[in-house]
Amino acid sequence: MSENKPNSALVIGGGVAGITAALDIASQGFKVYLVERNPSIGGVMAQIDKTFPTLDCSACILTPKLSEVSRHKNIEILTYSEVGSVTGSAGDFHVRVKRKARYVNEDVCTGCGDCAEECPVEVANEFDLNIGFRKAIYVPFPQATPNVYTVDKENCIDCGRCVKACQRNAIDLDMKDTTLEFHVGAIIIATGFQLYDITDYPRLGYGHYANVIHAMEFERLINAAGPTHGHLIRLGDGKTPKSIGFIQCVGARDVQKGVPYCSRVCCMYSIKNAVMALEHNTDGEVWVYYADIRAFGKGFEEFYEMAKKRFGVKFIRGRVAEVMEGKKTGNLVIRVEDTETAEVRLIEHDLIVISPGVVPPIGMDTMAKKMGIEQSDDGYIQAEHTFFGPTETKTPGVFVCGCAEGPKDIPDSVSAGSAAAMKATIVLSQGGT
Amino acid sequence: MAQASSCWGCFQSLIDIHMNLATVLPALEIKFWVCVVDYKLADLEGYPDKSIAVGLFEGVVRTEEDLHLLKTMRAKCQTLISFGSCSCFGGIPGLANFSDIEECLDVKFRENKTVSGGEVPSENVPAILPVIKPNHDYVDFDIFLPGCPPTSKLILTAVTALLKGEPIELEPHTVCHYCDREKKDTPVEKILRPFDGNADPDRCLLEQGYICVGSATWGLCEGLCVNMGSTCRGCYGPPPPIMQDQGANAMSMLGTYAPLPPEEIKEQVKDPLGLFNRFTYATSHLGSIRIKREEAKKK
Amino acid sequence: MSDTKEEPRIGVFVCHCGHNIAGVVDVVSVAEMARDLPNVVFSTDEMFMCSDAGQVLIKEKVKEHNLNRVVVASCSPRMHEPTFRRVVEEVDVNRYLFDQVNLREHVSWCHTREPVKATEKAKDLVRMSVARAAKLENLPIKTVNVLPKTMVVGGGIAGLRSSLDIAERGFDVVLVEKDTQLGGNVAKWTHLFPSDESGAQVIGPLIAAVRKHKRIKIHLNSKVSDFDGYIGNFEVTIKNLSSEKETKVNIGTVIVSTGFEAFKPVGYYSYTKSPNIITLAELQEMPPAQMLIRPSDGKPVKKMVFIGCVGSREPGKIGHEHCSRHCCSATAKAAADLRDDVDESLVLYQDIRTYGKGHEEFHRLARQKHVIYSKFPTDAHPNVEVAADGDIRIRWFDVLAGSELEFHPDLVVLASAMIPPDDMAETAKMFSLTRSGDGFFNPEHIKLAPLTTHTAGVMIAGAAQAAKNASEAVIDASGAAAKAVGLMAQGEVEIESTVSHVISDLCSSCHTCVTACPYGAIIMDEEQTPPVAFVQEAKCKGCGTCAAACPSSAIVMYHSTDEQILTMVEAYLCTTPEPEGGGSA
Repeated sequence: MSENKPNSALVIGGGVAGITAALDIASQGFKVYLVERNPSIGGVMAQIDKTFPTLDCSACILTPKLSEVSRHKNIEILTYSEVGSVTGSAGDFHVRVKRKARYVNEDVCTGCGDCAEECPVEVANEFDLNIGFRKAIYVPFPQATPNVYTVDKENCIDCGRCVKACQRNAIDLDMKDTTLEFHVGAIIIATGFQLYDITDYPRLGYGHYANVIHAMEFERLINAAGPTHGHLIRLGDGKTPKSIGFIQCVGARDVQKGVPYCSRVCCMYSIKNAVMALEHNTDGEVWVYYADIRAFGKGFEEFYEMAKKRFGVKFIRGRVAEVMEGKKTGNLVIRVEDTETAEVRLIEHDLIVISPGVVPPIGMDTMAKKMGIEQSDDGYIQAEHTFFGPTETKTPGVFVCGCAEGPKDIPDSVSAGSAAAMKATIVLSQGGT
Repeated sequence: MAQASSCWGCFQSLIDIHMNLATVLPALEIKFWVCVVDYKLADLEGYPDKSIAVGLFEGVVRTEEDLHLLKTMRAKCQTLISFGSCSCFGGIPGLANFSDIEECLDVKFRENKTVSGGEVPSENVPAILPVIKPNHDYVDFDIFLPGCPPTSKLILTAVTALLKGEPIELEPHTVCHYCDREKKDTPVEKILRPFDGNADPDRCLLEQGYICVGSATWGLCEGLCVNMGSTCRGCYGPPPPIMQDQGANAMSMLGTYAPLPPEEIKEQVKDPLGLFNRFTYATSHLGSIRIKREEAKKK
Repeated sequence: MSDTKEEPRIGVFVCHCGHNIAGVVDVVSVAEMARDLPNVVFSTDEMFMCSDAGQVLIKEKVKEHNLNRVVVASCSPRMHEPTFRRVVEEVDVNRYLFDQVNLREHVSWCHTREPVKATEKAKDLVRMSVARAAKLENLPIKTVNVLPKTMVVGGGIAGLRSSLDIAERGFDVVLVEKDTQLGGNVAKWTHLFPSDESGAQVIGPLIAAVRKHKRIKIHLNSKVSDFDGYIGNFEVTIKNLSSEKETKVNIGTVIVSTGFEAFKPVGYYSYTKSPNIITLAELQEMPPAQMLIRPSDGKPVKKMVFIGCVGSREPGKIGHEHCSRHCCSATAKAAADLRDDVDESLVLYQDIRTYGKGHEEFHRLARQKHVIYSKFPTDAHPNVEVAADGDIRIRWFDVLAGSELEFHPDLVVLASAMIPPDDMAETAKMFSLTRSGDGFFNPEHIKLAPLTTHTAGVMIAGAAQAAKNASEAVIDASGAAAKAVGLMAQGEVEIESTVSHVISDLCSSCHTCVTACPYGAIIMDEEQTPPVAFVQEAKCKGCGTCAAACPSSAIVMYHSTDEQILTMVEAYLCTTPEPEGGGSA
């Protein structure tokens, strides 16, 4: 390791890919700055209930990793923070990180929750996809790391009751944003993804019909730590849906909507959701409307078989044309061409779950342009070369992993995280050359 | 020195210290030793409690008289030694627990093939207990000295230490430690009866297929039998801690060691009880279940 | 083993785990019951023990109540034992004085409909654990050093990538390849996707770089013939397959990247009945000029058909149930590329799995070029017949058209499965790796640890782990390299102290434990007379088989001694301890 060159790395994004990369770099003895714009690391995986193809509880397999990151002596977690600017080159980047004021002193807060008890303001909880509520002073989820509260200043009414309630005097409503500057030898972009905005498909009824929801909302409903404590109910009337329809390829494989590519994960997450729906209601009926079933990974095809044979999930090959609502019942009717029988069918369901495709996260364009990192046509970070540099970007010393490079499931994101970490540590050990 | 139901072999072994008797005997004041000195049971009962320094108790408690003797010895002796495998573990007589007492009495008396009109004697004979419980279930012992019999050398060591007032130091090694045979690590192909074939005198007997339980046996004998051409039969009971189940240990060892399927082992081992728990049936897991069953019958 | 003579002071922490446990088990009453157990000084319940709040709680209470043993009743130890062990260590409690009770997988998740009985069971388990905790002892934390050298088994694209990454990172590599040249399957292909590069163009630079690198030692035409030792200190014997010469090497870590074999689908679609029926792999191995020439008579191919899922996705057929992942995309690219020079090109499929970056795009391109995609039903595969004159007739039911179709192609390309190489079982045994249903190696955890295995120090990468394409194999390779370097960079690694130990005085040298140990961790110490058994702690997994088999009770299981286990049994059977008189040895 070169004396003058920094032997630390920056990982942008605290989802499962970023966490994997951070741990792999730190385990080699290098220091890692892990920057995450949300109040806690964990990313989308923290919101998921169960993962495919093993039906592992997502939080259960993720939390040990969050713990490991939190107590790793080589990792400094900077949550509620964003990368402001990056200058320099491989081996020596000068990074400026803007640390948003959370109005709570991280070193003092123990996550006891006394403040939230006192807070009079309730707002929609974005972690629960706005289905549930949280207070204006909150932790996003119980295993949040770091386990400290954050004040949502936009909705805070400055009443000060939380300040009084806090026995450790951890709350400072006058806190200001700060900037942190440091040097790193390598950078890994692991900024994840967001779901396609399916209000863009008015014919499918999302946004107008109460009982049309999307996959992540479904995920929060079936999650025991979610807004309904794991009870899968219709948000319109609280009834338990017996018949559920899953609509695939919405916001993916759609040239007209500017998302021609395959989102890679939706087939599998829908099969998983379908199985979960039947586990929650063994009398239920689940139908999946698809174009192709892309169960390509290790154990995926076998999981698909199990969903069909053991659970009795029904699969209809056809892209749904429209969803109509029965005003009295709130039930939905799907119009779809069953291409295997060549008949147009009208099928009624109590609940419709749309599986949105995956798109680059909010702020990706801004960040890429600010850092001068080349993007692909789809808006993701462009990998240097499919075979020679699948986790390298066009900028030396900057690497990419996880969904920031393109839609991926958890195993592929984890492998990519480790791969990017390997590349980063080569740069660090060679001092950037 | 008390004898319950036994063969007296342990005491014979003691006498077998031979010329060393000349050193030992004068240091002893023998207060009770039926067959050797002329004290009666009444004399023993008459002594004050804890007035005898050392007592050796040989044999199993088979009759009510044995039980009375045991309790009396415990009361009168300061240090009570459980002498020999019968006293420690139940020994060969302990195997009788495997059958119902009435069955035993049938075979011995009522349906004895060489007696006609056989009856169970009841006059001038102490009542028989329905099951043999290990002696230490009745009283606490201070020292256990197993063996069938304990070798004269072992007895001399123990007695010498006692006379000096020192603790008896016994090596914890199993019989294998003293065995001179070579281990080649070849798998057991077939389980042999002791009379099958010709055993190679230089190779481990177990490896050749003869079931030797030396690895599960305390080697206080210093490998007497195995170095003389015979398999170890386990007469010293298990190595310390000595109340573990010797038979279970030997069986699990054989099951692991011999690459034979369980059905074959079961078929080839003709007498598992006599092989694995020959001397320790009464203190084995299965043996204690038997004892509990018998006692439950009484209630 | 140091003895812990102090009086046990046990703290019990019962976790709600949100609703996961508390939804079924009355955790509050469990914590209350624990308060009265012998040696318990503090007992409480908490929402999420694994969260920061829970961990801080443990630390605070250890200090406040001077606890020297901690029991956490929560999820499976497989989940959070490492977490809690670290927590107690931070407040100076030896990690082996911590015990975890599984109230989730063992209680709330399997007895969901019987909350009352589940709570009773939870109480029983906590009582047992508290009894055990009182008997636990300090164990030393041991480390072994890790040699700064990796062995990479398999010189295909994944093996080459791993080797280079590790070498560039500054560690030595021994690369073993059974073939006479490097490059694996990719080297054989003239045709890749999604780019237009040939296999040689992709693998060439990698091979050159590997050959040039000073830190990489290559053994071609060789296989690993013996593998012994333990993490950080493996003893390997590499055997040259022609000369039979053996080389012994000591290495710290291993990456198994043994790749795959392209399935030869004999019995499917009249494969071998005509030279014009080939596999996609065979097509990809042909020089470009040859691809559109009929193997039978050298005439140009004007009509071609690709058939997907050959030997893949067959439920119930062991080793052929998995999706081979790369073929739909490879087929789409091949069909699109070759379309210009043929009159008709068909792709018969079950599903089109062009999932990756750029893949859907050339699926679309193929269609735009009028490659005809025709779906056949899962339960009625196409029928291929070869007539006496060599004419190939293929008939199938097109699901979308709803009719039987017939085609007479010049060339049939079967997208056959990616299966493990024929010596996979041998490799698995050599490195103590397990295999999943698809025949490839099992990763340590299919989601969060796809590149490590249950054999500490051995990683897997590329197709050895599961069917995948070359780009994915490269990512795996770099990832596995990161795992290997992670072990080597620190120079040493901790090993578990929950291992067995032979009391040499009692050992009968009977070799039973040596035979019994599934991990080959016990050897005979020849320096003693007679030789006694000796446990190599780094290899021991603490399974207890040796202790159970030992006829002389010479083996003690640290952290699972007879006393520690029997006390749990007694705690379960007797709710109050009864003192007994008489009769102990």
